[in-house]
Amino acid sequence: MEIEKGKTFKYLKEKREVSQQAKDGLKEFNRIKKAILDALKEGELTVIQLSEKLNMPRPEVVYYLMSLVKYGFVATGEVDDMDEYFTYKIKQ
Amino acid sequence: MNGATNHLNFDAVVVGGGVAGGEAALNLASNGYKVLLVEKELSIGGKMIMLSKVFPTLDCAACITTPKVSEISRHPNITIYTGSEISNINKIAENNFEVTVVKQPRYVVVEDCTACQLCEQACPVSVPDQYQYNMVGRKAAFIPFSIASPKAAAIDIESCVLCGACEKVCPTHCIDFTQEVQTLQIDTKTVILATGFKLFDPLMIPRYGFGMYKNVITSMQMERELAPTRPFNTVLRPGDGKVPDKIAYVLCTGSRDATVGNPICSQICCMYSIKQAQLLMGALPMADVTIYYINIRSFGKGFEEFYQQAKGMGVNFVKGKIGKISEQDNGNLTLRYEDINEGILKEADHDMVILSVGVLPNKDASAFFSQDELQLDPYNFIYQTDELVSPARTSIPGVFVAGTASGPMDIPDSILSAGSASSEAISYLINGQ
Amino acid sequence: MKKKLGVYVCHCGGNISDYVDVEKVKKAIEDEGGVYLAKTTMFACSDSNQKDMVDDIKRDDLNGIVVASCSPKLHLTTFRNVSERADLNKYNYVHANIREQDSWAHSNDKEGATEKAIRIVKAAIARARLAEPLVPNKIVAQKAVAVIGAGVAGMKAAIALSDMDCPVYLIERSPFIGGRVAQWGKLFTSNQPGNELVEGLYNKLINRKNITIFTNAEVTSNAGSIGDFKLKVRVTPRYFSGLCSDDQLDKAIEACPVEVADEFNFNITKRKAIYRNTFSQYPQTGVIDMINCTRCGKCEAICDKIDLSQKEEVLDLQVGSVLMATGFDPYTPEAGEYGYQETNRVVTLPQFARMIEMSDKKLMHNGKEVKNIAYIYCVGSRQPEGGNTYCSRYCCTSAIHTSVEVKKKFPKVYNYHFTRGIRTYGKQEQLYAESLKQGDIYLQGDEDNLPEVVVQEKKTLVKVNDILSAGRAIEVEADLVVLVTGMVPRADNSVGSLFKLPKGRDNFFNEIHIKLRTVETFIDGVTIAGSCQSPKNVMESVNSALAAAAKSYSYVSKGELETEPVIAEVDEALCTWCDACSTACPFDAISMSNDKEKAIAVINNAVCKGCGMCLPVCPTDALNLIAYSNKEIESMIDALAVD
Repeated sequence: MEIEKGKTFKYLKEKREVSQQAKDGLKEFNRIKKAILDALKEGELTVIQLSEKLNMPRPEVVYYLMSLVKYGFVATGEVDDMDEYFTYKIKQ
Repeated sequence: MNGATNHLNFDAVVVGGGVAGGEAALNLASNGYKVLLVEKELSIGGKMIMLSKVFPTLDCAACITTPKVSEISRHPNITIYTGSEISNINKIAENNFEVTVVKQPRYVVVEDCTACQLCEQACPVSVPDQYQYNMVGRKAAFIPFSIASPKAAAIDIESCVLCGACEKVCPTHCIDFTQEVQTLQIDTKTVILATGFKLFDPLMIPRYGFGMYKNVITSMQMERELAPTRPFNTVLRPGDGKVPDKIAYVLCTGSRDATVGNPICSQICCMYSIKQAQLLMGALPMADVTIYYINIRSFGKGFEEFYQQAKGMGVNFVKGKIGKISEQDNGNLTLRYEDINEGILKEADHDMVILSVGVLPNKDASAFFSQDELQLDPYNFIYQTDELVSPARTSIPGVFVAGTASGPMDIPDSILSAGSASSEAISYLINGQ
Repeated sequence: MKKKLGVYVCHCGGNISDYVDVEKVKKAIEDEGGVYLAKTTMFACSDSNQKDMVDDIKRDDLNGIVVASCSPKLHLTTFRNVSERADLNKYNYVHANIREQDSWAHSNDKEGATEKAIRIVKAAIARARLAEPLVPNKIVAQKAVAVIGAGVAGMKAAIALSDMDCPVYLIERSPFIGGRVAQWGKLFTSNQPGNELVEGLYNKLINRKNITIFTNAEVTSNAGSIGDFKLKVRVTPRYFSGLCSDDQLDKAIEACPVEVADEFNFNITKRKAIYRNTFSQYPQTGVIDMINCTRCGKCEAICDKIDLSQKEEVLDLQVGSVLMATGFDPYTPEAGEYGYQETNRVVTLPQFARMIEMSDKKLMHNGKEVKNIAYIYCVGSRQPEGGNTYCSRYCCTSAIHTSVEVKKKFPKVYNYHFTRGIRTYGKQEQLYAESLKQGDIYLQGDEDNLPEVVVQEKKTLVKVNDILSAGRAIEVEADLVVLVTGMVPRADNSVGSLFKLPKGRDNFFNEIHIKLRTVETFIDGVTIAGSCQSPKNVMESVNSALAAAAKSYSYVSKGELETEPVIAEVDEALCTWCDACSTACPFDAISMSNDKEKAIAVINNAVCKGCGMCLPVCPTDALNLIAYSNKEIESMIDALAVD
C-alpha cells in the first residue's frame, strides 16, 4: 500500500486497534481538563478549593492540575500567608 | 522488515545504559573496541540521570551525568540502541557470542527529530509520566525528559489513539507509524551485563499505607521533586498540593527485612535520605525533617562527615523502626514507632512521609541465556564467581557484570566496578579466555 | 581577525534562572562588540544544545564561543570539545561562571545577581575577543607503568596492565609481596583464605614476561612527569645469593641471636633478624633484616647461599604512568585507649586475627583459655573530636566475620559486640544475621556514650550504657578485649610526597572527583588504587585497581600525549634568574638553564599546570601565562568594572 508521508498513522490504524483504555483515558482527561479550566475561569483557586468545587479527590486535582501546568494551560499563582498552599490560574 | 535481516559485528555488547554500562562502554571504546550499548528505556543515563543532587558533594546529578552521556552518545566506537531488549545470548565458543536484540519501534526517526516539542503540544492524550514516577502527566507523543539522550520524541503506542495530530504538526516529518519491531542478530566477542537494579515497591508493606495515603511517597519521587526538572513548581505533597513543613523519612523500607524477602542492606538509602534532608532544608528553610533509622550507614569517603553535617543543620535523627502509618483527615500522617533510645512506643505526626526504598535485583539478565546458566546469588543478584580476585566474573566465561547488577552499590562503586568489568573484558578479548 | 562570537546563557534547569534573569542577561550582552549571536538554553551541556552549538558555529562561521553556565571545573572540557567538533580551535572558547559564583551565591538578591551575571558574561566576551588559537604540547609517553605497592590492589593492577600488553614494574617496599591480605585468614564474604588469594595472584605475576617484580625496593626520587617519570628505586638485598634448603634455613634462623617483634603478626610474636616468608607471602625464601642484623656471621656458616656482603642497588626506571597502591596502616591505639597497653588482655582486631590463625584446639591467651570476648568498635574511626572523623568502612564486617570464624573454630567462646551502630552494608548484612544467630550479644553506645574499659588486676571489665536496652548500664567481664581498629593512611608517606600527591582532609590520597573520577589524581599520570584512596575491602580494592590500571594504560598506550598549552612562558630578554619563580612553583616545573648566554628560567611544558603562581613574584615581569596575558586580564577587568 502506498503510504503518504505525514499521514502514516492511517497505515497503523488499519493494522492496529486502539485500546478501549486509551480511548477512555482520553475522554476522562478532556472532561477533567475542561472542568478545571472552567473552574479557574472564575478566579484563582487552591487545590483544596478546586477539589470542593469539582467534588473531586484532592490527589486527583493535584495530578491533573500539575499536568495542565506542564502543558501550559495553567500557571502557578501566589502562596498563602502561611506559606502552605499555592493558588493556580489560567495561563494567559 | 521483520525477522533476522540484520547481522552485525561488535567486539563487546554492553547491556544497560546506566552509569555502570555507560562507563564500561566508554572504557572499551576508548581502547579501540567497537561496542554495542543496549538500553531498554528510551534514554540512556539510567537512574542517575533522574536524580536531584548526589552525596556527599551535592553536585547536581544532571550536571555531572550529561557530559558523560553525551560523551557516550558521540563516541565513534559506540553504537546505542535505546528502546531495545536482549531476547537471547548464545555462547558458541570463547570470544564468540550470538546476541539477539529486539528493538521496539519508537515511531520517530531519531536522526530527523529536532525535539521541537510541537508533537507533544498537539497530542491530546495525557497519561502518567513514568519518568516523573507518575506524579504528573505526559503526552502519548513525548520527549522522555529534557536531558534525555537521544533527545527525540517517541510515541507511546499503548496510549496513542492514532489521531494523527502529531504527524500533522511535525515540521521534519520524522514521525513514522510504519516502523515495526526489529530483530537484530549480533555477533560479539564478549558481553558486559550492567542491567542495574529495581526499586522496592512499598505496596508490599501495606502498613505504611503507600498508594492509599497520597502524602506517603517514595524516595525516588522525592528525588524528582527536588530535581531541576521537577514535576511541581516546588516541593509539594501530592495529596493536596501543600508545601510540607514536617517531613519524615522511613529508612530500610524493603531492606534488611526478611519478611519482604530482602534481608540485605541496600547500601545507598541512608546517604540519599541524608542528602535529601539537606536539600529539603535548603528548599524549605522552615521545615522540620526527621529521619527514622535502625543504623545510619555512612561508610564511604566523606559520608560520615556528611551525616554529621546534616545533624549540624538540624536534621532530626530518631533511632526507631516504624510499625504503622495512619492518615488523619487533613492528610497528615501519624507514625507509630518504637523509640529505641527510650525503649518505648511513641507516635509522631508529620505532614509528608518519604519511604526510603531499597535496592532489589533486576532479574532480567538470567533469562537472556538459553544454553548456559547465569548463576544468581541467594538474593537474585548476578553471582560473582570470584568475588574477591575478579569481582566482574560471572558463571559464564566472557560474560562480565558491572554495577548494581551484582548487588547494591553507590555511584562511585558502580563506576569502579564498571572499570573492573571493562578491564577484565579487555583481558578476555586479548587473551581469548 | 575580526571576532564573530556566539554567546550561550544557560538556565541550568533553574539552578541559574531561578535567581538570574537569563533573558535579561542575553539582551544586555547581545550588542557587545564581536557578538554575532546570543541565545539562552535550558541545559547548555545537554546533547541537543551541544548539537545546536556545532550547527551555529559551522553555519555562521563563528570564531569564538562563550557559554555562561556553571563552574569551568564541570564543563570547560565539554564546550572545548564542542568547539573542536565544529572545527573551531578549542582555545577560542571562554567559560563564564554564573552559577557557583553568582546565582548560588546571591540567591537572596535576584536583581543584583542578574547585574553581576551581565558583567561576568561581558568580561568573558572581552576575553573571547582576544583569544587566540593554541596548539597542545605533544610529549612522548613511555609505554610502561610503575605499580607501587604489591598488596592485592597492586598485584591485580599489574596483572591487568600486563594483559593489556603493557610492561609493568611492581615495586614492593617490604621483602614479601601479598600485603595485608596475606596477614588475614579467611576473607569476607566468600571465606576465601588470604594465602590462597595471594598465591593465585603471585603465580600469575611470575608467569608474565612483561612484569618485573622488585621486593625490598623503595622509590626514592622522581625527576619526571606524565609520559616520562624518571624514578630511582633503591633495592635492599635479601642477602641470599640462591635458595637454602628448608632444613638449612631453619637451622640458620635458629642460630640467629637477634630477636625482634614480628610485624607480620602485628608484634604479638617475635622473629629473628634472618627469617623466612610465612606460607602466605612470596617469594618463598628467606631474607635478612639488616637494620637489626649484627653481622655475627652465624647464619652464613650454615648455608653458603647466605651472603652478607651483598650491596644495596639503585635502579633507574622510566615509566609513562605511576599507579599508587600503597595501602593503609591499621590504626594503633594510644596507650591507655580502652586499656590498650595497660593490660595484655586488650588487643587490636588485626592482632586477634593472627591469634586465631596461630591457635588450634583452644583459644589461649596468657596461658588461659579465652571464653568471653568483647569487641569495641570504631577505635580510631568516627572519633568525635579531632583525629579521624571518618568511618573506616570495612571494620564492622571484618569484626563480625572474625567473631563468626572464631566461634566456628572455638565453639565455646562468647562474643560481645560493643558497637556504635552496625554498618554491614549490602550483602555483608548476612554476616551480621549469622552472628546474631550464633548467639552473639550486641550492645550499642554513641559518640556521647562510649564504652569504658576497666582494667583490674585479675579481670578486665567493659561497660556501656546500652542504647538497645533503653540506656541500661551493662558490664561484661572479658577474657579478651578486641579493639576493632580502623584504617589510617600510611604513616610513612614519603612515596606520595615524591609525586606531590594531594591528600584529603582524612589524609588519604585525594582523587579528582569523589563521584566520577576516583582513581585519577591532580598529578597527571599518577593514579591511585585500593585503600590508599580511602578505606576499602578486598573486592572494592580490586575493582579500583582494575579501574586504575585501565586509566594508567590510557596514558601510555598511544606512545604520545597531549598536554595543555595554557602554561607559563619566559621572556628570555627580561629574565635575570633570581629563583623567585621556581620557589613559588608548586609543581617543580621551573628550573634554571645555563644553555643560553645567561642563566634564565625554563619551563617544563609537561609539568606546568598554568596555575600562574610564578607570575606575581617575578620582579622583571619576564613571565607570561599563555591565554591569560595582561592584555586579556585587563580587558576583563575593564568589562567588569565599567559603570
